Amino acid sequence: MTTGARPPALTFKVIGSCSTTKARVGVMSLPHQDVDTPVFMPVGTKGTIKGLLPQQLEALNCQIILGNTYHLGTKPGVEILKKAGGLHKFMNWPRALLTDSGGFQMVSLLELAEITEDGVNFKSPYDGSECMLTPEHSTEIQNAIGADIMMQLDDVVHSTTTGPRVEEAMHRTTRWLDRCLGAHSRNDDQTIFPIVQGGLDPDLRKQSALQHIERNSRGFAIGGLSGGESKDDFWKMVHLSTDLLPKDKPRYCMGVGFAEDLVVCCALGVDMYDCVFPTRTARFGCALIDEGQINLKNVTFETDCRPIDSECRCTTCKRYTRAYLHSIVTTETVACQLVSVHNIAYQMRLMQRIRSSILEDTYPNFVRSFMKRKYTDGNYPQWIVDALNAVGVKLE
Amino acid sequence: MKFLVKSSGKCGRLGIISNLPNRQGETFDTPFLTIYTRGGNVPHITHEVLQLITTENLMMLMPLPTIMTALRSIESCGQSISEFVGLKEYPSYITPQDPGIETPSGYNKGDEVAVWTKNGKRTVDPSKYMNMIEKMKPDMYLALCDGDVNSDSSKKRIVKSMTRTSKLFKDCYNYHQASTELQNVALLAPIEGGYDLNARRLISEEMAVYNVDGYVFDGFHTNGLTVESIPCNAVEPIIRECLERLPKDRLRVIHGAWSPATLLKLVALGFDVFDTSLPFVSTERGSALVFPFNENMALSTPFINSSQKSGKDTNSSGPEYELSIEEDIYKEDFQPILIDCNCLTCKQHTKAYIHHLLKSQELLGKVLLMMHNLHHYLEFFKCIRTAVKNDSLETLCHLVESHRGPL
Repeated sequence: MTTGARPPALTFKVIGSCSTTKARVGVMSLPHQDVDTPVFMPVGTKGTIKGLLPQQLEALNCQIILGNTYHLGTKPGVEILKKAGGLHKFMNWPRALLTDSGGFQMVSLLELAEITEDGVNFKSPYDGSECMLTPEHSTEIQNAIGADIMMQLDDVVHSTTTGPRVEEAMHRTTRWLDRCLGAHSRNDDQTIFPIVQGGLDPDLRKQSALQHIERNSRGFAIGGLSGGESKDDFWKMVHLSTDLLPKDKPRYCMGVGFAEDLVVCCALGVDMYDCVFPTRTARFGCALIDEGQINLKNVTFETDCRPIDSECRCTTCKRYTRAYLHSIVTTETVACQLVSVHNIAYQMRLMQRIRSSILEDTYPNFVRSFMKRKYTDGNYPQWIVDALNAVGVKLE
Repeated sequence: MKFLVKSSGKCGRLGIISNLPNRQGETFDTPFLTIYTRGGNVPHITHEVLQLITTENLMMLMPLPTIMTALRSIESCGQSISEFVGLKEYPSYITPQDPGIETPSGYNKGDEVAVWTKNGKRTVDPSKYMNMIEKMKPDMYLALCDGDVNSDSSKKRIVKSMTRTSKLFKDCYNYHQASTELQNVALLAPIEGGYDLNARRLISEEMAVYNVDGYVFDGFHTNGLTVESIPCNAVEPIIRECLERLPKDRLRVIHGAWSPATLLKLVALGFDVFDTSLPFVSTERGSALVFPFNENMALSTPFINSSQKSGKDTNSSGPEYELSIEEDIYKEDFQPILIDCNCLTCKQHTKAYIHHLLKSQELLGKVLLMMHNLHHYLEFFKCIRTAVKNDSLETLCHLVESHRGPL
């Protein structure tokens, strides 16, 4: 290395903490962008998000977005991404990127995949050909994509699985982490996040977290959740993981993106989130507001001349009414873009409100008023009451 | 509305549109483009993105079939169509049919014209039509007409279309005259008659007596992809005959996705208003417009060589004025669509990326194509106006036509 003074590919600084809960605000400095945490990362599976231009995403204050390794590796393919000089250049996105390992597709395409110690054997849903995704291969593709943060290939089991398979997957995940780290060829430009596994078994979760911490990574992910387990199990696993993971490193809870989950998980000390929900649901005409969500296809909006959210300052809410969106929602691609802009703006504004209230040390108040607005009848889901109680916030 | 012809000659004419209702001070130089919209939005383009393509003043063409189902919403919000669709800064112009999509043939009956909406066929008679126009408050509109005629139409069909249109127009005209809401709204009369010279003469003479703001030359095609292949010499003698019989100081409008070369000939004949359905149909088939309209572009524009294309039948590779970005030859092409193009797509994205987006059915692919195609066509029209002014339309024709496949 000739440039010894260069900072690592990820540095994290906590700039404020909640004095009641485990919530904190930080700045995660990546090669392409300083990211304010807690952060929500919109998902751009194939190198684009729902028809939005990169400059629109910048204007929405998105600092980091996701790409999916499995999809990008299939189309356009590694060779083209290499020739383009990586995904940043290919899609002309100047800010930070994160890629998954391709491993999550194991759960979603399980009937097409067979897991061995070597890796995951896929049958391509495109042409039926077989291909083996090993930790080395996943790392190599992610090195070619060039995202600021990449994920280790993990052995994902469905979150409701029990028995020895969960333990096997947890230990294999650690072995695969070592293989990913060994194959990683761009440690100065990219950071690999290990993924804490262990299903819903507190003991296995603990072992997994401790094994990963030994590897001294720059950040950590909490995986294997948001796959259909009960919310009661979910928050306990998050709570347990953040208790163990080092305070000076960012923690990423994979696949979380519903507003109430974000508010709770921030209280539990999680810094990063991703979810396809806000943009996927936009395609079907679903718009996010604090009270929940509204489906613009619904006939009640035919004569509703208000913006989606009168408090929102996004370009959609400043110009378009619910009635207009209703009139184009199933037929015009513009409707999908307009609702996506709003939904991303909603997520970004929610995270901004979370960060501000943590910095002002008023986070418990924010949590209480947020939940009150969402559950107007005061009937809070028990898991939310319990999770918040565990970090010293009482609802009601 | 006021229309002033500034100059007129063998190579087209220049004019200024002004005094649109509620838009005092706004003017449009002709020949000009109305911007094709669907459901009130430029296809694939939000208001935010439109500002990145151009900040010039534009008139939005709103085909009734794409906005009619929103009538209840428009009524309850009490807004004009421009306000309702979030484009209040732009004047609007309503036409009974959709120039961007082929109109199904054979459904007009009695006083009723078939309008094909997203929910299927609706029938519209003059009072229903005028009622909608009053509610939508456009700046300009075309009277209801039966334009269900093309070069294959029988004499009988042509006569039917003319008599029906006559009746429909008179009803609309009388309604318009009696309406206080529509006093300042510009009304255009349809010129039908298909490819029958006599019929065209008759209807032109008939329409010439009405006090309207302009004429729309309809009934040459049934919209959509049926327009591009019509050669100018098929319509030119008819248009000349009609123009002789119509007052010269009114707006002359023609719709549809004409090929750029034919469009220039229509400009030369003296048309003032066109629309952007070509950028739309081009985008929909995954293509980028690349025909040159200045010397620089003629030198640097990629020569479209059909032998470079992936073989197969040449029909699939589309017309010579565009690149079909979905073709495999662009898979690793890290150049912009046009190297010297100033549009945001060309300044920021490569053909390889657009190819990937189109192949992956990602929305952004068509957004980027539409941004380029609209920009290209708007710039083309700037050159057209300059060429008419400098009497150099013929040179522009040569430039556009020079860009054809290999000899």
